[in-house]
Amino acid sequence: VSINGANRLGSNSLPECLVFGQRAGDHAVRFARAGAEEGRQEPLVEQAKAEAGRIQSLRDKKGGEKLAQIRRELNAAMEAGCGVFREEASLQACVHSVRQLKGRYADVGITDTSRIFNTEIVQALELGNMHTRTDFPTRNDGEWLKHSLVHFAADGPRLSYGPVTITKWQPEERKY
Amino acid sequence: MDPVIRTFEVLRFRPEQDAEPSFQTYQVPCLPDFVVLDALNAIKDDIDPTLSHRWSCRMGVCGSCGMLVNGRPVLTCNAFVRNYEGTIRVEPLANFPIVRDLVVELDSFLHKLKSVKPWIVRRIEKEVADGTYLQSPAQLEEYKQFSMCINCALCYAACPVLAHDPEFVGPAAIALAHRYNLDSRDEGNRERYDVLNAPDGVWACSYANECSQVCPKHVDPAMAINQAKLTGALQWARLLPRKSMT
Repeated sequence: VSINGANRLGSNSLPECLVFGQRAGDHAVRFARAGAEEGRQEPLVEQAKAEAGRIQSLRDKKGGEKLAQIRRELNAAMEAGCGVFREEASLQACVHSVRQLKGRYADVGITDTSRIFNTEIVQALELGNMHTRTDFPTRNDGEWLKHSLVHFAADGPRLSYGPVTITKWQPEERKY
Repeated sequence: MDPVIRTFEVLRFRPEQDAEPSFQTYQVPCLPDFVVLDALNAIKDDIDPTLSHRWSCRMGVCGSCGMLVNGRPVLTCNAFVRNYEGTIRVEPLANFPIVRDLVVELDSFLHKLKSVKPWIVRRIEKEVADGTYLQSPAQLEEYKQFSMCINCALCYAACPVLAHDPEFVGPAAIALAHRYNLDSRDEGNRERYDVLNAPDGVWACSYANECSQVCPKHVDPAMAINQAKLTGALQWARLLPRKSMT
């Protein structure tokens, strides 16, 4: 499924790009081709239209909220609430802040309406890790040696779990 | 510490509305530790969100924030504002077409890079099960400095040959070709020979050395090009084999 949780956080990004990125890309191409061969282009066209519509609606946004300000506040909330060392209360506070910021983001104002290398729209689209819970100092592999999967859903994130496949290296407590 | 207001002249070009590029002046509050990239981000965040520029890592590794600052190609993440006096002029990398504002079209560069096959070429690839290709520290030392290139293209913006011969393969691509030719694991020398020794290859270089002056990773492309000239000449004269030569 992934190497997250089994490896140092900083070392995950390259294999994520190179290994899982390639697998995801190959799979997406196979999936899209299969769809095209079965004559089901309409859903793909609809999806593309919806995405184009989403970008167009961003371009039209003339609200009073500043993109950079929301990003700064999001940075601060994430740093304070779910940095490397976090606990229940800080995580809850962060969830609250992020929900508020999502609400304010709906009223963002976009200045740049260009269709050429529009990095303001890109930044607007971008607005959405192993860490240590200081309130749970003891490792609990019995309950938590599993993959946590968060699925996007219209009514909010949906959580599920998957089994971990352990091959060569047995997990053990980090004592250094 | 209080920010100091600095004046930036930034080249703007928005093809949908501008007939040609022109400078726009911004007054930017700069903290003492600001690099030019911080100032550009401050412009985008707080003054003018329509400014487009490329950047990613902010630590001199990704090679995407190269621009001309006061006419010299630099990584803007590595160019401290405090080291410049007076007005600071920021332009897109020279010798490339402008897509928009400070963003240039790098297709020609990427095409040239690919043309020299900057990867390990083997006549017969080893199977994964047969293990890795071994190399001694001395063999690594042969090419190591040429392998530090981050493809930022500053050397292409600095090169006076490229300014009048856009087809010149150019410093970074030749340095990388040379890097693989020097690699004890590589057998692709013959495949790179034709590109390197074509009229737009190593022989177009007039050894101005500007590439090596601007390289942020202290690669010496000018030396690579001129070593490759020697190799090419010896190969042409059949004094060295063209195949798997190191």
